[in-house]
Order: sequence, then C-alpha cells, then structure tokens
Amino acid sequence: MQDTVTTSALLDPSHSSVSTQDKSSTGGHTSSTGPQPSKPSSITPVPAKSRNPNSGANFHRMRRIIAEDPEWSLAIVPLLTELCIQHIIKNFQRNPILKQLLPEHQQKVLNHLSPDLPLTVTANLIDDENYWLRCCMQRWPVCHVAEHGGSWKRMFFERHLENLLKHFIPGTTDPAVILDLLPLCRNYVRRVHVDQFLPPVRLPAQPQAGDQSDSGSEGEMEEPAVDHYQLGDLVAGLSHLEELDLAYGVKDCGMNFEWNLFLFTYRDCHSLAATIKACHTLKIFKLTQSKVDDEKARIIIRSLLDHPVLEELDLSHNLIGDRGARGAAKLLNHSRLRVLNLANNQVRGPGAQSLAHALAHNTNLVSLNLRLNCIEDEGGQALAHALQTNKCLTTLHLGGNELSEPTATLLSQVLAINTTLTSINLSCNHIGLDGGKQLLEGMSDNKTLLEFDLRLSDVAQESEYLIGQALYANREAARQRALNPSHFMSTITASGPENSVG
Amino acid sequence: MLKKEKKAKTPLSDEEQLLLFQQKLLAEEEMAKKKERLLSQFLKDKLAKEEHNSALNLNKINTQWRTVLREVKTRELLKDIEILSQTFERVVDCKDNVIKSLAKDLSEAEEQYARALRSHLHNVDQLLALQRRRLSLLEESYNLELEALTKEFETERKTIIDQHEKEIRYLQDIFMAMEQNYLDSEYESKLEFQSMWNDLKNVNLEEKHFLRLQLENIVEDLWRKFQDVLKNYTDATEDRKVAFETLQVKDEKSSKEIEVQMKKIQKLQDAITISKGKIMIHSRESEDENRYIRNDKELVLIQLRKLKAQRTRARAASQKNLVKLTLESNAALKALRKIVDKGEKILKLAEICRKFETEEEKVLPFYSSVLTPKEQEGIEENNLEELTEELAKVKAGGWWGIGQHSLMGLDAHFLPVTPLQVIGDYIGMENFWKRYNKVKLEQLSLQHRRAQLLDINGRLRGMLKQYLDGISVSDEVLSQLNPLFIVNHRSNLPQPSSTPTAHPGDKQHPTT
Repeated sequence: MQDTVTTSALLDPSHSSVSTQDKSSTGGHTSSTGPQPSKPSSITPVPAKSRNPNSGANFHRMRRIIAEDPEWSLAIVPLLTELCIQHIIKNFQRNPILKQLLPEHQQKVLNHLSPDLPLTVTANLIDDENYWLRCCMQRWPVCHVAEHGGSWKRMFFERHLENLLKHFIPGTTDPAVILDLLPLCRNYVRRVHVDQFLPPVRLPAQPQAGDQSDSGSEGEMEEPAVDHYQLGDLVAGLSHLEELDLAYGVKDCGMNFEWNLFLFTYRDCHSLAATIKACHTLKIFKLTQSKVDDEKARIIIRSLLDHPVLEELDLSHNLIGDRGARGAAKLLNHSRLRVLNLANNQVRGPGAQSLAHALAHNTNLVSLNLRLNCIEDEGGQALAHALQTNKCLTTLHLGGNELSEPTATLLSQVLAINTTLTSINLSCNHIGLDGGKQLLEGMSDNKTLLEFDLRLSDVAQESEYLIGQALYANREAARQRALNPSHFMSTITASGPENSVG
Repeated sequence: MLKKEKKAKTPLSDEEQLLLFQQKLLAEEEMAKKKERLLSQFLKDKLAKEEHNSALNLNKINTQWRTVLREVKTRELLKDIEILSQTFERVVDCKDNVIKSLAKDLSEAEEQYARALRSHLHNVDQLLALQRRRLSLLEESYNLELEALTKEFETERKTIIDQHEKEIRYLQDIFMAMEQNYLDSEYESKLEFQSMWNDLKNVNLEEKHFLRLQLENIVEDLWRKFQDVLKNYTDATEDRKVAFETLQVKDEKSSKEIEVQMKKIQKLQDAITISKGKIMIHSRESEDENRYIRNDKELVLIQLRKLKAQRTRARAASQKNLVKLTLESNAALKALRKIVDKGEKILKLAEICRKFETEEEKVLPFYSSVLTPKEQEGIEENNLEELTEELAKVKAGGWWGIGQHSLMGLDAHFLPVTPLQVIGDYIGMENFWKRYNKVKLEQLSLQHRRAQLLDINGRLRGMLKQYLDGISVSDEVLSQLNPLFIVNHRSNLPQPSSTPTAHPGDKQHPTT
C-alpha cells in the first residue's frame, strides 16, 4: 500500500507538487499509518524549508529572484530529482535509500536528514561525518572531538553509550536497552568513559518483621544490594574497545548524599576483573576515585597479569596501600605495561620498594606516577637504586611524597649516569638546600633530562636557576637533534627561515 | 645592823624588846613565807603533775576516740569513693562515646575531604591537559603560520628579485639602444651643420661685399652734407659771438657797482638795529610807570568803595533803629493802654464783686495771715527761691511773656529790673491773693455742699419713690419687677431652675 502510494507519487509530479505545497497541518498525508510521532515533526521542517521561498510570505512572492537561498530556483515546479530526494528524506526511516544514489544526491540527502532518526536505521548506514556532527551538536553543547579521535560518529556513539551507562539503575532499568545498542555501535566505540555508576534504588517498603536493631549506623545493612551495573556483557560485545575509564561514584546527588552511593563492592570488583580479562583489545584501563583498596586492587591486578595488550593502567585517587603496590609491581614484569599511575593512594615505603625491585629489571615501563603517596625516603632511595639499572623509564612523578635529602643525594648519582629519563617531578617534597645542591651537581652531568620540576621543594633559588639553565641547554640540544635530519636536505631557503626564526 | 643593834642594846629594854619583838615577827614572817613558798612549790608540783596526767589522759582519750572516729570515717569514705568511682566511670563512658563519635565524624570528614581532593585533582589534571593541548594547538598553528609567512616572504622576495633583475636588464637594453640612436643622430646632425655652415659662410661673404659697396657710397654723401652744414653754422654764429663779448664787459662793471651798494646797505641796517634797541628800552620804562600809576588808582578806588559801603550801612542801621524805635514806642503805648484797660476792668470787677461781699469782708477786706511767723519766714524764703528760679528760667528762656507776669514783660531790654524789686511788687498783690483764695475756698466748699445736698436729695427722692411704689399700683410699677407683687400665685420675677414655679411664696432678691 505504501509502496504504491510512493510510486504513484513518483509518477505523478503535479499531484505530488500540490501535495508538497500543502500546509504543514497535513503532515501525515502519505503516511497515515506512520506510528512514529517524531516523523511528521522531523519531516515538516525539511519540506517547509523548501517550500518557504516559493509560497511562504507574500513579499517573497513579490521578489523575482531570491539569491541568498541556494535551494531556490525560478522554476515553480521543482525538478523530479528534487521531489525524489525530498521524498527520500521524508521517508528515510522506513526506507533508507542512500547507497544507491549518486554522490551529489547522497550529499543532499545527508545534509537534510534529521538528526533525530533512530540509530537502528542510521548507525551502520551513514558514515558522513557532517551528519554525525549535527547529531552531536544538537545533543550536547560542548563537543571535544579530539578526545574521540577526531571522528564525530565515534564521539556520538561513545557519548550515547556513556549516557546510557551513567543513568542505568540496576534493578530498575532494563539491561536490554544497552545490549540492544551493541550491534549498532560495536564498530565505532573505542573508548568507554563512565564517571558515574548509579546504585540500585532502595524501595521504602523495608520494615522487616524481626528487625529490632534499628539503632546504630545506617551503612551496615546494605552491602548485598548495592552492586552496580555489571559491564561484562557490554565489554564482551564491543569488539574494538581500547580504553575503559571508570569511576564508581554518583554525581549531582545533592541532598541525597549517602556514603553508600560510592561503594565499589566485591561483586563489582570480581565482575570487572573478569570483564577486563576477557577483553583482548583493551589497551588502557583506568579505575579512579572508586575507593579501591588493597584487596580489590589485587583482584583486578590478578586478572590483568599477562594481559596481551594492556599498556596503561591508572589506579589513581584510590586507597591502594603496600599490598596493592606489591601487586602492581608484579604486574610490571608480567605484562606489557608502559604507563602506570598510582597517584593519590596510600603507598608507603615498602610498597615503593617492591615497585623499585620490579622496576630494576623492567623493560616496558615508560612512565611511572607515584605522586601524593607517602613513600618517604626509604621508598625514594629504593626507586633511585632501581633507576640506576633501569634503561627505559622516561617520566617519573614523585611529587608530594615526603622525600628529603638522602633521596636527593641518590637521585643526583642516578642523574649522572642515566640517559633515558626526560622528565622528573619532585615538587612538594622537603629536599632542602643541600639536596638542591646535590641535584645540581647531578644535573651538570646529565644531557637528556628536559623537565625537572622542583617547585615547593625548599631548594635554593640559585640551585633551581642553575638546574633550569642545564635543562634549557638540554632542550636546545634536543631541538637541534630533531632539526638535524632536515638540515642537510634543504637548500638555502631552509637556512633562510632558520636564520629569520633563530 | 650589828653595830646598830649594839648601839641600841645599852639605852633601853623596851626598845630592845621592841626590836626583838620585831625581829621575831620578821623571823616568823620569814618562816611563814618559807612555808608558804614550800607549800606553793609543793602545790605547783602537784599541779604540774596533775596537768601532766590530765594531758596524758586527754591524749589517751583522744587516741581512743580517734580510732573510733576513723573507723566511721573510713566507712563513709569508702561509700563516697564507690559513688565517685561510679560517676567517674559514667563520665568516662560518656567521654568515650563522645570521642568515638568525634572520631567517626573526623574519619567521615577526612573521607569527604579525600573525595573532594580526588575529584578536584582529577578536574585540575583534566584542565591542565586541556590547557596543554590548547597550548600545543596554538603552538602548532603558530608554527604553521610562521612557516606559511616565511614561505610567502621567500616567494615574494624571489619574485621581487627576479622582477628587479628583469627590469634592470630591460633598462640596460634600452640604454644601449638609446645610446646608439643618439650617436647616429649626432653624426647626422653634425654633417648637416657642417654643410649649413659652409653655405651660410658663402652667402655672408657675398652679402658683405655688396653691402660694403653700398655703404661706402652712403658715407661719402653724408660727409659732403655734413661739411656744408658746418659752414653755415659757423657763419651764423659769428655775429652772436661779438655781441656776447660786449655783454661780458658790461657784466663786470655792474658787478662792481653792486658790491659798493651792498656795503652801504649793510651800514644802514646796523644803525636801524641800534635805534630799535633804544626804542624798546624806552617803551619798557614807560610801561612800568603806567603800571604803578594804575595800581595806585585801583587802591584809591577800593578805599572809596569801602567808605561808601560804610556810609550806606550806617544809614541803614540808623533807619532800622528808627523804625524799631517807632514800633517799640507803639507797642509800649499799646501795652500801657492795655494795662490801663485792665486796671479799669479790675476796678469794675471789684465794684461788681463788692456787691457780693459779705459784711465781714466789707469790714475786714484783708485778713491777717493764719500762719506762724516761722512758717511765714519759710514761705518767704521759698517764695524767694522759687522766684529766683523762675526768673532765671525766664531770663534763660528769653523773656517770654507769661500772662500773670505781665509786669515783667515791660521793656526789660532797656530797663533791667532786679528780682527783689519784682518780688516787692508782688508783695503788694498778696492781699489780693488772700481775698481771692478765700473766695475760691468758699466757692469750692459751697460747691461741695451743693453736691452733698444733691446727693441727699436724690436719695430722699428714691426713698420716696420706693414708698410710693410700695403703696400704690400703677402701670410703671406693674412693668417693673417686684417680688411682693403676686398675681395668680405667680411672681413676675425670673425664677431659678432649681426651685419649681409652684412655690410662689419664695422670696428672691430682685435681679435688678
């Protein structure tokens, strides 16, 4: 029935021209059976837009030529191709014709398609970035497409998925909502960044018969019922997932704040561990601000041992102590980890020592961030010992760790012999004037260090300045080395800009 | 003592006895004293012992008593201690609870702080990353723009240099071409010039020859003409030459004469000046004399005028005096006439008054004074003083005529009158004043009496009227308010509101 209607519309241009020139109130003219309420509202702007120049206002009619509208043409009767394209746009949801069209027609259709079309239709069909750009801009006011690899489509799906996950209430929301999305977005989602996991809603019908113990604190009864959404199925479904960025907490809770909204339960932990073990494309795993203590950390790390592709692990802003640090140290040598971030945890001297022990023989780790722990001098010294033999670490962040002079002394010895470290951060420690002098001596022999952050470390201004001078020299050398390959290739013109710039 | 006793042994036995008696007494006294001392000592010892014993006993009692008390006290203290220990335990429990809750609060606050710190650090890190990305983007764009600019600059430079070189070459070519052209044209023009020059030279030579011949002819003609003219001129001027010479001789002569005359003129002029000077001197002298004479004349004239003025003034003054004299004399005559009239009037009045005199007055016109001599003297003194004062006033006031002092109004300007004289005149009037005052007093008293009588009369009339009104009834009486008049049990007096009108018998004072 609808096909005949469409063919009759195609065959009868005058009839359809009349119908297209009808007013918007007859929005459901050809699709009276159309159940989607969004369709007339989505279709009417498109024909209205094409109708306006012709028959909208009287003064438009008075004008012979309307130059500013590229769609306008003097011909009152639109071309057949125009009509077809408009019809395709209108009925895209039911009959998505795109690939069969010529490129210019495809472009027109894509430019006019409504961003509100259901994803089932558009997800695997439309690859045009402009369309996805419009979808994104319509939905979210702020879009950083660089965070999503420069692809609007990817951004749309990732944010859509994140939105669903953020508002998923276990026990109330249907998990099928998320799982249905999987076949549509599996090819495009590479990063899942969820910073809110809602706990299940506790219904108020709670008074249990024999419950006399309603005195005392509130947070002790609720353990079993607070599990969040389990990501296992989702991650299994996303075949290209490379980055998983989670934070178990609730945002914008306002007056409904309770501490049990921020619990990361053992069940969550186990399921998460299983999930990431199963995901063989995961390169970056971040689990921050989730009150992950030693036990949970060990559970997760155990599942990450010998992971084939994991390169970056971020467990910052948690409650990981020495045992967790030991687990991380073990992980260092049993995986391909390149970046390890344990900032703002509770790692102390023994933990740092274990990490140092692992670091001494490690050949993968490029960046280690241990800021805002409390490793103190014993940890610092252990790390310095390890750095004497380590040949691949380039970035080390030890800010805010209560380090002091002995560490600085050992580090200066390291600086003299190390050739791979490019960035060290020792800010907010108690290095003191002597430590600063030691570091300066070490810096005088180092030719590779490019950044050395010594802010708020009680180092004398003179030492800082001289270290800064040494760093500047190193940076100049690095720049020259970077420019060197191109120096001999270019002719006089290359030396011209260099002279003018330099 | 022994010596005294020895001396005392020999005289008398009584004295010895007395002494012995005294000694015995003394010894007895001493014995008694000793005994007393011993007793007292003994008693003291006893007392001391007793005291000692009592003290001991007291101590014993105290110790016994204290043990008893101690037991009781210990029991009480034990109870107190138990109670206190219980309260302390309770307090300690409370404090423990408080500490626990505070510790819990503290841990929760720390957790909150930690959470806030974590999220803050997370946000700050993200912001830092964003900023770094932005900076790197900006740096990239800067570098790109820089490269683009340098490339542009280079290309522009190249193009400009190329253009420049092209144009230089072009200019050089043009220059070469120009030079060639110039050389060619120069050569050509030079050739032309040479040819032209030759031509012109030839032409000039020919013309020169031709002109030379012509000019020579003209010159010869002119020379001949000139010679003829010269001859004519010299002939014409011969005569004039001769005349000229004669005139020259005359001229010399006349010039000599002129000189002589000039000298004469000079001498005459000198004489003129001298005589002029003399005339001047004489004229000046005569002018001075004239001046002196004129001054004298004026002085005399002034004197004359003064004297005339004096004369006229004197005349006027005398005329004034004369007029004044006549006026004054008229005024004096009038005044005297008035006084005479007054005196006649007074006499007439006195005649009239005499008709009204009483017999007493006819007999004794002037009564003697009622006053004592002292008072009289005092009055006289007062009168004198008053009069002098008045006179002084009057003198100062400029002799105003006061009615009663018309005597003084007489020509005081010419008749200075002494005050005593005036007072003397007044004394003569005293009798008159006495009579006058008496009459006045009588008049006043009569008036007073008259007033009194009138008053009495009026009162009597009133009383009579009242009586008559009381006993008679007439229209007048009816119209007036009367308390006794009662008609129909009603009085026509206005009744006050407090009393009812049904009480006709009330007598009220009439409001009139």
